[in-house]
Amino acid sequence: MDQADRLSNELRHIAKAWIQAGAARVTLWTEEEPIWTLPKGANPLRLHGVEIEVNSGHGMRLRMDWGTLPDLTTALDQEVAALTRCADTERALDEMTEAMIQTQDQLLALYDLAQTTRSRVELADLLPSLVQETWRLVQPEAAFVWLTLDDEQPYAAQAPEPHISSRAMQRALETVALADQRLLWNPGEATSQPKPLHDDRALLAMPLRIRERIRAVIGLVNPPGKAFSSPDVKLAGTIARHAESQIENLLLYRETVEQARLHTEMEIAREVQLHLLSPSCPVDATKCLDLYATMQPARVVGGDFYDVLCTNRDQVIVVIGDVSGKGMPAALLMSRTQGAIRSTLSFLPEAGPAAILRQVNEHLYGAFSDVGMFATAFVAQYEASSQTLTYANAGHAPVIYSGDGNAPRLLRADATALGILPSCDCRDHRLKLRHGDLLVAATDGFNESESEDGRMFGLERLLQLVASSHRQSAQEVAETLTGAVAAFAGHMPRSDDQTILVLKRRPGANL
Amino acid sequence: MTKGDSMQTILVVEDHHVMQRVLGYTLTRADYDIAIAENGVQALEYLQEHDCDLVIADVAMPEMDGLTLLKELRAHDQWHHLPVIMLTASVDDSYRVSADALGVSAFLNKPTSSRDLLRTVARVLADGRTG
Repeated sequence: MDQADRLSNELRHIAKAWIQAGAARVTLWTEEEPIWTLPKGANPLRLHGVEIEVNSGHGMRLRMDWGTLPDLTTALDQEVAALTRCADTERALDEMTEAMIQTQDQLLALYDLAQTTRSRVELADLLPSLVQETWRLVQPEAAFVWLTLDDEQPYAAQAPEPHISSRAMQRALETVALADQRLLWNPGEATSQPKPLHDDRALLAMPLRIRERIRAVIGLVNPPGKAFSSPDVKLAGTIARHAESQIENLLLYRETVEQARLHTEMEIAREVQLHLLSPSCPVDATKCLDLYATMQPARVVGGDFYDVLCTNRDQVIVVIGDVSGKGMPAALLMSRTQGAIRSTLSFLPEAGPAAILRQVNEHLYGAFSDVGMFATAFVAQYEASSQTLTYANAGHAPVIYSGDGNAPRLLRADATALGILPSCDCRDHRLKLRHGDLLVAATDGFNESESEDGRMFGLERLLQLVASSHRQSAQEVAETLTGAVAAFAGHMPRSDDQTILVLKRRPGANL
Repeated sequence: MTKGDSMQTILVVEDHHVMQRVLGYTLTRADYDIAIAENGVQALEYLQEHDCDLVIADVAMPEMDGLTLLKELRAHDQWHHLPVIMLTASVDDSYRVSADALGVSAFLNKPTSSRDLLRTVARVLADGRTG
């Protein structure tokens, strides 16, 4: 609608009022053309009654037939009433236009902000870009942002140049955090809050709530004579809400990346550990022994360990152990313990199991006691020529021997675990291994596994399972026990590492 | 409308009535004198009889579009240097290239914020005065 249309509409209101007050006919003319006539359907009024020039630059004239309209005063009263209605309408329209422009400005500001800041993944990049865009959109003399996160140095950014001291920015954050709302210090306006800037400049401080606390402030500064307007404050508020979510998202992203990095590192650690725990079984050993071992850590890495070694053509050594605790600390000590056992065997190839454990305890006691941890360990040495199994047990359970045609029994520890006392007093014990005899060494992740109703798997079930699986291969025995424990636990998550080593004598062969 | 001595007149050429009102309201609030034309033809008719400091014209309009209007203005000595800001909602860069070739003063994308509009108008008018 152009200006002429709007004027025509306003005049129509006046004409309606005149008609209602008694005028017979009113026509609006532009130059020599009738635009409209009231009442509707009446012929245009030509030269009759009164003619009013409308001084609008559009050449409009109102012609009126007085009819029963009493006098000009009444006509003017009606005109005033109609114009008042028009003015009210125009004012309402202005208010709507103003609101629409402000909303549009805020939406466009958000769009610009999102475009500029969306690819920022570091606070050191995001904050300067945020404050630069804030400065561009609101156009204050200067803008700043100050952010403090737990255990990190404060982050600060300013635009167009560093104008504000760190102390003043910090004061601004403290003040808005205390007030728990945005604060405005306009020139000449009294405020009860202490002003962070010690001069006459105007300051608008918008708090940013991050992680449920006010941890940042966006500050806008104007020269002494220039107050912040209501649209400025609204726009700054919109920017602050956007900044909050941008910073929240960035922190979340940062945490996700850190978690992913840790996850990757843990996966690598797991690979390394599994590699350490999967020594290829010496070919010579498999001639006389059926050997199988496996480990399932409760977390990505675990503290359980096992090993199978051949020191000479007549001997196979098997090791199983469990470092207290779980996860990375246990895994690190597990690796060290396994390394110490291998190292001892390499320097003392003739040492028996008890001597190995005593030497390892001496070597690692300091490392374990410093961190309040310990490791159980069972070492067994099979000598093919004599078909003898010599073993020593430092606090490890369960170890089950099934042979002699007797029921399976536990080979109990006769010494404390490694790392508890400065010296380990474990002793060697001997067994004659006959064809089909079975040794099952596991970690407590088996017997202490819990069911959904809180019952423990226990040693008795393990002994029964070993008895019933006596004719199976080493791998089948391990799988039977592992499967039984898993079925028993149901949906309960594995709370401890589970490691099992099964050794079974093959018929009659030597190494 | 009355033109004060210090007020600068801006002719807004825009066929969309809401945009007319938004532009008119924003510029009037910033103390500019506003005239409105619905298309290029009306704009030329207005300019025949009135002085004007700046034209803000939409690109897409019936009867005569903004680019044609710009071409007409540049073809007349009287309006050859009249600053013109073009408004467009189109992402087609060919408009911009053509308008640049015809000596447009500035380009604004629709919708534009009131701050960007006023900033651009002030800059173009200042350039017009100094140039």
